Amino acid sequence: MWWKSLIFLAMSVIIWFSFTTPAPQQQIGEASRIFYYHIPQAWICVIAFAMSAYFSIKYLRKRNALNDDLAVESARLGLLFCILATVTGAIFAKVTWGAFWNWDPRQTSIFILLLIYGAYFALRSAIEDEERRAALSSVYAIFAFVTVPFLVFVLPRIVPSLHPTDSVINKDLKFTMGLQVRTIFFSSLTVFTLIFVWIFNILKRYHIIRRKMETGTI
Amino acid sequence: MSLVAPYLNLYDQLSGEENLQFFASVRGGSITGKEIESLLEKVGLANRGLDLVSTYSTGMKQRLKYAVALSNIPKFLFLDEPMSALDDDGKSIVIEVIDEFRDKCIIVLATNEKEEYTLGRQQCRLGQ
Amino acid sequence: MADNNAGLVSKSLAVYVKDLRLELRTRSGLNAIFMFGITTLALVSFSLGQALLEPKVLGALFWIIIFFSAMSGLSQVFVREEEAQTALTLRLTADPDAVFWGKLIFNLTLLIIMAAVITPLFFILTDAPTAGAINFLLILVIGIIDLCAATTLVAAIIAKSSVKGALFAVLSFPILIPILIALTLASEKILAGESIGEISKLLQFLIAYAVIMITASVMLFKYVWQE
Repeated sequence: MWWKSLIFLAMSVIIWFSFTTPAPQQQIGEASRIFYYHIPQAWICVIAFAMSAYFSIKYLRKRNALNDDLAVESARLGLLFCILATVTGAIFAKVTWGAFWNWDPRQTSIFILLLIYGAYFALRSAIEDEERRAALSSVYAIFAFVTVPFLVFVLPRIVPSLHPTDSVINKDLKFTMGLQVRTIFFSSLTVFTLIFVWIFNILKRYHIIRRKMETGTI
Repeated sequence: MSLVAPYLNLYDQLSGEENLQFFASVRGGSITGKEIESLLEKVGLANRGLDLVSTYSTGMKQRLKYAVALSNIPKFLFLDEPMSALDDDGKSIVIEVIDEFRDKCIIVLATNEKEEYTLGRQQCRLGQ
Repeated sequence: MADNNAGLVSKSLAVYVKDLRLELRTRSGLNAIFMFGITTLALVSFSLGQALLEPKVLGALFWIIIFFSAMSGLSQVFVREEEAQTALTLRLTADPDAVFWGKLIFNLTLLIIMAAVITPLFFILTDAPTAGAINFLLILVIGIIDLCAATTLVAAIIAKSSVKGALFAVLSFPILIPILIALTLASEKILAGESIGEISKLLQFLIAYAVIMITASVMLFKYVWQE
């Protein structure tokens, strides 16, 4: 479909501009370019987790196996973006603060998300019965998701942090980025989201067809 | 609703009386010492109430399961293999119990034993 | 005879008393928790020798000991039911909410008993400052509540899986990290002699966590418990 090539084009354009325009954050310098990639990835990671929790809730309500499939796929994609976000974050950390990892609250949060995804898949592989596996992992996904607001919003505020806090939204909730930076950033955010949605849709169609084949309606 | 079945275990490390007490209160009711005594007598465990269930034979455990099932007057009584692990005394106790509760609640029996077929007023054969 | 109108409290109490009785007879949970706690504490004390530790390290070590002791003993309240095959009996007779609350309070009891012994020993062996003792105890109690709030549901989840023990820690750890961070930080400040006002934000966080996790657990428990 034509819009998929558009995504490809858009991504290429964004990558080009992310490296040729002035660096978004002056104090940090060139390394701040990673912000165009790292933040969308981290954001999508959380969104994917939210989707997984959402499909888990739907599964527990109606016990429709497709919902469980979608919860798993959201979690898989979420894990992918989580790994990307961790890696880009670690690169940034090395360049800016000298060490790949120093347990600053946001780094800890992304690490926790990695652990949660890992735990989710470990749980799934430890249960044989399909329905029980779906039910128990759904409960865990929802339960673990409840801790995410603590991680993302509360913890960084109460624990001293190294993360640049005012580079995106400052205390007055105004964007501190210039227009050019804002454009690239939001385009990047949009394109990453579209990529996520695209992959998710493919997987969703796969599962719908698979379930239909299993129940014999195809 | 009460269910008696071979695969439903009671608490081994609790005594017969403690099991009865627990199941009565977890169902939201209460049970007096006298009621416990009379239940244990009815199923033929009169003097073993204070012993741990781990010291019971399989037959005795089965009898205790009946006591637990009957400690609150159920609307439905499900019995799976009602006479399993029971000696003649135990079997006659089961027959007494079924007779006593026949009119007080609905009893559903599941069994493969021919001698248990006649305990019910209606029969239903599965899988033929 | 028995009437079925009594409330959730008495039913939960019944579950709690039953588990307590079983525990006092078999001591399986207490043994695991105590042995782990004492062994870890001894190891810590031994490795440090006479070294005097700063509050940051003391706080972290203390909560590591508590956390791992909890991991070794808090899952058995559900695993024991599955292994003895009394779980099905309990499922059929008891109200799921009562089962959850009874076992939550039971886990709390286990941890409190363990902490009552380990905490004084910890202070003695590490020669930690005891100035803010009351505040430290406050953090300890809230921390224990938080630990149980998060792990009771997880214990129910893994009781029905194949790997149980390892899975319990794997599933619990990510959920517990936020409070471990907060507890370590709060303990550090108290041991360093700061007043309770300094840690009020952390305390709010810890209390909110307990409330939210218990609420979520109560809502989700029946999906884990019923087959």
